[in-house]
Amino acid sequence: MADTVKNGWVVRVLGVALAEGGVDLKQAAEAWRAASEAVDGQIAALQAALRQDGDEDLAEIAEFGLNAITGGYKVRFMAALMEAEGGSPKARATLAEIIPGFRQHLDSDERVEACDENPFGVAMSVRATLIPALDRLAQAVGA
Amino acid sequence: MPKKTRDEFKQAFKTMKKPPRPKNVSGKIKDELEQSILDDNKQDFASKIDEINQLDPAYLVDLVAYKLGKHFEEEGNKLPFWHDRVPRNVLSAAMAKIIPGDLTDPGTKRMMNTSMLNDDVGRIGLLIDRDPQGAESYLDNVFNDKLKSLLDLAASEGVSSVVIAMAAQLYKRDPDATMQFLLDAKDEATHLKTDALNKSTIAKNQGNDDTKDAEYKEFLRQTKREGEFNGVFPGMLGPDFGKITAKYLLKANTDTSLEQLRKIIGNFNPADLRDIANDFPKRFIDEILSEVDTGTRQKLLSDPALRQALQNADKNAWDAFARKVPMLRLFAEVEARRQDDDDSGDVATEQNHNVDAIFDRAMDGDDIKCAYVGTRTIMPSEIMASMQDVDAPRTDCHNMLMVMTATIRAYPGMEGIDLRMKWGHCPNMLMTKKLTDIGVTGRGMIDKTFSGNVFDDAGAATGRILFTGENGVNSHSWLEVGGKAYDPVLGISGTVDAVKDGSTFATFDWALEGLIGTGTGGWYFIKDDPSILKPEKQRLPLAANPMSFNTAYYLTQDPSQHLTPEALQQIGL
Repeated sequence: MADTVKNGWVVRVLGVALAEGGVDLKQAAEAWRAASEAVDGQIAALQAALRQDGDEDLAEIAEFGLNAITGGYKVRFMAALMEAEGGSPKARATLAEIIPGFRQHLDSDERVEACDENPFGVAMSVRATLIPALDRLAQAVGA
Repeated sequence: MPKKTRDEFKQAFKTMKKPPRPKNVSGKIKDELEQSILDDNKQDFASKIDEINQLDPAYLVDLVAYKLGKHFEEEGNKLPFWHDRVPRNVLSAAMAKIIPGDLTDPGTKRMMNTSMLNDDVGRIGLLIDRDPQGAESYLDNVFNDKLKSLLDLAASEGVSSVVIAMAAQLYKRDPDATMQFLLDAKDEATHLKTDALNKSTIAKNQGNDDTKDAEYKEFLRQTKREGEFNGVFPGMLGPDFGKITAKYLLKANTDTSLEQLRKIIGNFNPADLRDIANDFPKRFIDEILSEVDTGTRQKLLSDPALRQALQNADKNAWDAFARKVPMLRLFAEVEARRQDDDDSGDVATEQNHNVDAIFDRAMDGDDIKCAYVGTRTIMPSEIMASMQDVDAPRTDCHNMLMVMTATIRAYPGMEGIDLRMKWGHCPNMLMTKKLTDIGVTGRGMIDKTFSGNVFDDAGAATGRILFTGENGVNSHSWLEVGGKAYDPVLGISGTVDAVKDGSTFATFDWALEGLIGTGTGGWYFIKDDPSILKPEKQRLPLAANPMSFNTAYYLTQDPSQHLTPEALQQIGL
């Protein structure tokens, strides 16, 4: 199907208008929030496992380390996303600026990798969950 | 997906990994940097840091971040080097690497909450360094008691950023109470420090090593605490911290605060001083100016603008005070005399007239009048600013010149006078004319009725004085302002040549050190000393005097009348 046909189907059947890039910002944002909550749940589970281990270093990582795996991007990103959803073109541009760095961080940070490949029996998929959601948002804002 | 090992997992979360050294930073510089810490050499450390910063600033940031993480939990001296002695921008960038999110980040905020609950001042310090503004907002919601307890703990552990942040937050809420809290804490630390050291010394003498060590440890802790409380004022109040503190101390008006202010008041520049005094002028006059030591009082009162400001602010208090201070009494007299003079309109001329009036008043009045003594002296500040009556004050000519110089500088309208004022001096030994032939009898520090310490061939007093100075050099000094000389010792003034000629009979150099001088006009002086004088010579009748002229001399053009053949031979005669 050509893009215009696809878009027409989405508008007709689902009742939502697509953004210029073909992906709706609201939907992408919802998908992101779902992904983010899923990852938060995974992190909480990993934190619990680390605390229960009894190892001082692991307790330290549970307390302070896991919070850092989003590399300082998350808050700025969430703030911009909220404003962009409210229709602010400036926030949309900000979001477009933040996303590539955030994605790069998730893709390359060894703490993210260590979580995904943790030896504590907690199923984690930070990259697999967040990166596609982020890519979808990137499309929505033209990043 | 392959699983990490526990160690690999931990390794991934290590705050910072050792950054690889780039090629443009030599191993030698890096080794020297590490060595400077081992040697506790702050200067070398700063210089190497600067070098690396120029070569590769990004590497330096990574290195500092790594070192901060590595030494964070250690007790030793390494952390202070990496935290306190690197450029501020490097520290900030390193902090951003260690703690990626600022305090708006929920993770970082959680870290702050946990650190606050655990009283982990080290980590709180890092978070404050990471986001000072965020920390300020965070601390807005913390109770006073918690802030105070963290402040004290951080002071004991030497975490300056926490001490300052807590103090600044408390100051924002209640400046006066915070100032008092900090000053009291500083005093307490000083007291406890001294106490612990004393106890440690006593325990050492009693052979109680455990107590000695424990008390010494406490001494070190309190020393650190005292240092932090000293440093908190500039950190909390900025560049004007001294003035703000002084203003608070004057406002607080307690015995302790006024005593503290007296200790520091001599360190302020004139503009700040006027600002401080202006808040409570009468209190400043009565409790500070009247109670400080004379050196500080003289220094403070040397600012004409401060004197005028205080006089304008509270004339009664000022006048009562001014009547008790010698230099102020002299100024009042000089001002009264100068009011009658016509203004020449020329600054230099007016300044010369001021100096004339000051000199005349110093010689003829009883404000800063001081008699001569060659050996015992009182300090210039005592002469100028003592509020106690000094019984028969005496000083030497150099101190009196210092009094004159300081008085002239402090008189209104004397800006730039230093460019036209200098001390003249006789480079060798000076013998005066007969004292009663010099200027006006009764004028000058020397008692001109004194019969002198110089005797003629027949052993009769000549009325002259021999100044030997510093073993034969720089025997006499006077003041020169704008080409005119002022000699307070002999009480004369005039052109430089007139003053020299008016007082000098002859000048001398040693022919035999300490004993015989040879001078202008074919004159010799010979010390009244049996080791060089003929055996039949009687001791010279030197009159008792309070000026410490304790050595008598013959004045002669024929030394053979007085000297032994050996002494004559020694001077080549």
